[in-house]
Order: sequence, then structure tokens, then C-alpha cells
Amino acid sequence: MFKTFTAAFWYELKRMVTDRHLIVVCFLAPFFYVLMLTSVYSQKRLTEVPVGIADSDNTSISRQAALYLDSTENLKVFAEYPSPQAAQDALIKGDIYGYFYFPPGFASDIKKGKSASYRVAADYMNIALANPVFLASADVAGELTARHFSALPGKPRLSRERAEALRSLVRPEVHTIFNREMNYSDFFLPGLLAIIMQQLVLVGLCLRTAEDRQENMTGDYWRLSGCSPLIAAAARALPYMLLNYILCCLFAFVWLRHFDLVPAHSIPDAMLYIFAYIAAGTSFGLFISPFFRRTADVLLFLMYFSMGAFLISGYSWPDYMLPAFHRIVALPIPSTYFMSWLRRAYGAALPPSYVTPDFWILCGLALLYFIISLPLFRRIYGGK
Amino acid sequence: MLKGIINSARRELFRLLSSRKLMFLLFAWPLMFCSFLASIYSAKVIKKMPVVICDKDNSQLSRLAARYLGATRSLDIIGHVDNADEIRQLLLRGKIEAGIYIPRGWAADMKRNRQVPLIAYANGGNMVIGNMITSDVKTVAGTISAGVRIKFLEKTGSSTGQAKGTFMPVGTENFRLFNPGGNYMRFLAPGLWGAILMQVLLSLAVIALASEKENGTMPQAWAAAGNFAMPLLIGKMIPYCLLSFILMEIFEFVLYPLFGIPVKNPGGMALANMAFIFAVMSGGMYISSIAPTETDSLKGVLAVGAPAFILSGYIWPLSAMPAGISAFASIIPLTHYLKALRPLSEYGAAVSQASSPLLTLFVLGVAYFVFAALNLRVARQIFILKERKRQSAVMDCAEGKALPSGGAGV
Repeated sequence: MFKTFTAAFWYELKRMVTDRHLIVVCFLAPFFYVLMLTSVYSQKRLTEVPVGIADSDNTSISRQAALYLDSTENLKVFAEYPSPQAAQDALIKGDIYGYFYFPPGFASDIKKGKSASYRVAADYMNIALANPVFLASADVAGELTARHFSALPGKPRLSRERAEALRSLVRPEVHTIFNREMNYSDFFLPGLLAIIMQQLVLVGLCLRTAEDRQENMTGDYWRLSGCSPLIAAAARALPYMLLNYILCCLFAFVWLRHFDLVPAHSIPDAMLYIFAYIAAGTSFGLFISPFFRRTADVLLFLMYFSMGAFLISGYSWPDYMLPAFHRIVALPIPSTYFMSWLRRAYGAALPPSYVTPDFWILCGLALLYFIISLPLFRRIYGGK
Repeated sequence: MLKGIINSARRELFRLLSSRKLMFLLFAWPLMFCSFLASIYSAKVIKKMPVVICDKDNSQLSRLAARYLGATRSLDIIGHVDNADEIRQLLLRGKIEAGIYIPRGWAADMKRNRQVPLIAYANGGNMVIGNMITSDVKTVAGTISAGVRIKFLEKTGSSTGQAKGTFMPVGTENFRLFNPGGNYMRFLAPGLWGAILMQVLLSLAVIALASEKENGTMPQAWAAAGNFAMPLLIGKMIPYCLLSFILMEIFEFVLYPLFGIPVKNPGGMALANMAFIFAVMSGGMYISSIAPTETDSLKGVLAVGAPAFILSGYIWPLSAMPAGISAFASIIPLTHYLKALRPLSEYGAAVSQASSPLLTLFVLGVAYFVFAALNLRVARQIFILKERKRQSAVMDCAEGKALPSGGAGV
């Protein structure tokens, strides 16, 4: 039995490294996608978001405010506009993502000790870009307040610290856990990597099985595996699983380090978790592969899978906000459980007891999909 | 030439209408899958994230702060804990999204005009959640600060107006343009739909041409087009473009309203749809003209289509991407379509304000079309040369010479 398994395994391995479709999917695509998508977020955080200024006050205080805005890390003053309408037109054209309008009398109100305000408008159709605009604006308003609070008419002159304390008695202190610097790269990259690897193992296995069916080679492979569905399925899955596992570890522990992303877990713990994920993904691929008759159909239908699986995994949009139907659809997909670990694994050293439920679910899925793929393999390859 | 286009278009329309798979892919699949994706965001915003409070101060003011936090849209106080470590443990277990810690002596310090912290431990692993918590905690801290200061100044004889002015000489009026509620459905669904539609249209375009190669029916396709590449391509594209336009108008007039996404300039959006369909169809024809098989063509679609949404600049701006990546993104039609879509559908912009991406889409479409036509022409010339060689070999063979090796397979 072992000899038969070895023969079938070597056959599959040879096929994987010689078949041009499989070479593209198993060897070139992982590097293409991972390198390209990770470099999208190489800047980590959104900085220097282009904004406009419409300064109808045109005083030293309003100009100082504009300078403050330009000097923040988040914003870059792209241009000055004669009116808020002109700034809004530039925003619609896509030149800027937000603008600041200083109305006439802004500085004189401050000097008189009256409450003065400036207008901040940002395109909230892109929430990711609008947030830095509002955050920088709040900081600049605070800076101006502290500066002018200390020199209000009829009040004794205060130190900056004292003025700041009086202005803002309650200081918000937000400590983020898991992604301390609130980098987009820390948020997106591990999830994207995981979904890419799952997608590629699914496509690779389905392509391989569809090739056999398309070329009427099912009988040859069945005989090679000693007419055993167990050997046929295991020998088919193993090369893909091993390759995917090696690549996944390479990306997780070497490539993501390049972006200062290091799993806080111990490396062996993380490797074990990744192994469970890849095993579940491979078994899932094994299970769905007999449903495709043609290689073109594999690509035609699986090309939509990764986006759907990512969005319903709870990685970006929390699972408790998903409609019940989507949560049910997400249940049989391995990435759902892996994402739950992944979100936390890159930020904090989790004790093993905190993550084991997801780990065991992945192991259970790997076993379940492998077992239910056996009769399908017998049917497709054995002709029964 | 016109006759070639008509013949080719008629032939393609028949092929398309007689294929259940293609009709499913063209109409049922995009509508089903796009509805599925959009309904992920049916809650529109993230509400009632589970949060716990550790109130070490237990004063009237700290309880007020807890009530304010619980009253925000995004936070839901699900319980109280005894120390900061418990908050951390619950966060690590994924049971809560944030924990608020109010230290002992909080209210007393505030009454002495000393600055006090409102400490929040938030899940930053999800940026959406982290940003919302940060924003809500800042708002509540600001509200309490203002309330306490204004109350204090009022007690010392200032009017409410004077108190407000003294407390905050510089304030801001924040305007969240076009999506004031921070609705994620309006933010993400149009972009996701664009990405799915591009993949569907690209797949259909490559199948239109590659399936002819695969099934060996290319000679009939050439014959219907009068053996010219341009009529062949135009004829193939016409039925797909028309039916795709119908599909995209179903999106515009059914799916957008169904999911509460406004279309402020329907005419402009229809124009953008047309330009997008032309560019994508031409792109598909180009991919398929260089790929030898249907599977290879679809691999090309996957290579372009899968990362297209991330590369489009819809969420992460192109200016923040490395130059090579943004250059690659600029040859993908989705990038320019989404650039035109937001102003036209959400901002109510005139077509002139979105003219640059529309023009780029058109130029891309023309460029892909020309390259596809050239590729097809070259492929046909090679085919004809090989065919002639094969025929002469057959004639030589008939005259008693040996058949050259490999000749029979040409």
C-alpha cells in the first residue's frame, strides 16, 4: 500500500512541476499576488492626504491654521481656492479629498474670546480617506484653542500646559491592541495572504482533477493508485498541501517581516495553526474538485470565491454584523476560522487556550472534507 | 465590411443565446453574487460593538461618562469588570471590541481642574472597529470636558455663551460629504459591483473568442466576418456589449435603489457604463487574442481581475501605491470606471467633471481593440502560411515524396 501511495505521490508531484497550468497556479501566482498586493500597502498608513484651503478670513491666525494643517503627517495642502464651492468642485474632480473653509471674522472672534469655528468637509464616500482629514482637523483645532486660550482678553496669561488642561479636562487615551500603530498594512496583509493561499490550493487541485477528466486520464490515475480512493485522494492532496504550507510559512515568517509584521505567537504554535488551515483548505479543495469537468470552468467559477470568502470571514466586517445567511455560508469555509486567529495572532501573544477552538474546528474540517471526498473520488476515478 | 460585421454579430448572438452557461454568467450570476456581497453591509454601519467598563472611580461623573459611551451609536456596554487585566483578557479572547478604564479619583481631579484620562483599550486588529472606537471615545471625552468646564464657568457668573466662548475659542464644523451617516454599503457596494462586473464581462469576452479556438470553429468565424479581423472583433463584441449594457442598466435602476444607493446622474452613469463595457470587452478580446486556449485566457482574466479592486484606488489611493503598481492599475479599466462612478452616481457631477476617466476608458478600449485586431491578423497569417505549407507537403506526398515530420498536425 505504501509503495502504491509513493508511486501516486511522485506522479502527482511530477505533474505539478511539469504541467504548465499547474506551474502558473502553484509557483508563479503566489509570488505574483503576494508581492503585488503587499507592495500596495508598503506605505502602511495614509499620509499626506491632499486637501484644499478656502480662506475667506485671510488673517495671520487663519494662515497659521493652514500651516498647521499642512504640517500634520496626515494632510498635505494641495491648493488654495477662492471659495468653498471652488474647493468642492476640485473635490468632485478628484484633485482633493477634503477642504477647510475659514469664514470672514474667524480671527476677530477668537481675539474677542468668542467661539469661532472653521468648516471641514471631507468626502465620506471614502471613509478610509476622510478619517485622517477629520482627525488632523481636531488636532489643529485643539492646537489653536490651546494657543489662544492662554491669551484671552481679561484672563490672566496661562502656560500652554495649564491652558491645555483647562481646555480638555478629559484626555482620551486609546490604546489599540493587536495593531498598535493602526497601520493598514498590519490590518490587511495577513488576511490577504491567507485568502490568496487558500484560493491557490483550491484552484490547483480543481485544475488537476479537471485535467484528468478532460483528457480522459481518470482510469490511469485510478490504476496507479491501486484502485483505492484513499490513496488517490491522499496522493493528490499531499504535494499541494506541502507546497502551499511551505509558501505560506515563507510569506508569513519571512516576507511579512519586511513590513514589521511578526506573529506574536511562538513560531511553532503559528506553524501548527497554519498547518491546520492549509490542511483544511486542501481537503476542501479535494472535496470540490470532482464537481468540475473542464479546466476553464474551474477558473470561471472559482475566480469569484476569494472575494466572497474574504468578505464574509469576519476579517474586515465583524461577523456579528453579518446577516444570518452570510454567517451560515461562511461556516464551511476554512478561512473563516483561520481569520479569527490571524486578526489577533499578529498583535498579541495569545495563550494557546484562547485559540484552540478555531484550531480544532480547522482540524475537524480537514478530516471531514477528506472523508467525504473519498466517495466522490471513487465515483469520478473508479467509475462507480 | 458592414456585411461581415452583421454576419459575425448574428452568429455570435446565436451562440450566446443558445448557451445556458453564458446566459447564466451574463445575467443571473452577477445579479445573485452582487446582491450577496452588498447584503453583507445591510447593517450599513457597525453598531453596538460589545464593550466593557472598569469604573474604579464609581462617581456620579464616571457613571455619566459610562452612560454617554453606551449612548453612542457604535458602542454597547455589555458589562462591568474589576480591572484592566480583565479587559485585556476579554479582548484577547475576542469577546469584546473595547474596554473603558476610568481610574480612581477621576471626578475629584476633574473638579480640581486637573486633566484626567479616559482610557480605552480597543481592538485595532480591525481598522474599521479601531477607528470607530477612537472617534467615539474622543467625542465623549470632549463632551464631558465641555460640560464640566461650562458648568464651572456658569457657576462663576458667566453666561452660557460666554462660557462656551471661553472654553473653546476654536471649534470645527465637520461635514461628511455625500455619505453623512458613514454608510458602508454606499461606500463599498458600488466598487465591489464594478469589480465583479469587470470579471464577468472579461470572462465573457475571452470565452467568445477562445471557445472558437478551442472548438476548432475559428475558420467559420473568419468566414462569417469576410476574413477580416476588425469585422470579426466588432461582430463578436456587439451582442455582448448590448446585453452587458442591459445588465448594467438593471444594476443602475434596480440594484442601486434596492440597496439604497443613490444615482444622481443616471445619464452620466449610463455613459460611464458604455465606456466601461467597451474597454473591458476590448481588453478581453486582447487577452484572448494572445492566449492559446480558453484556460489560458481565463488565467489572464484571473491575473487582472482578482487584484483589480484593491489596485483600483477605490479605498487605498493610487498616489499611496508604488509607481509600478499604480502604472499597472492604470491599464485596468476598473480603475478609471470607479474614478468616474463616484462623482456621477454619488456626487451628482456633470459628465464634464468626470471627463478625464471617461476619456481614458475610451482610449484604453481603442488601444486594446487595435492590439487584439493586430494579434488576430498576425495569427491568421501564420495559420494561412502553415496551411499552405501543409497543403504543399500533402501534394509532395501525393507525388511520392516523404511527408515532413510534424506536418500532419498543422
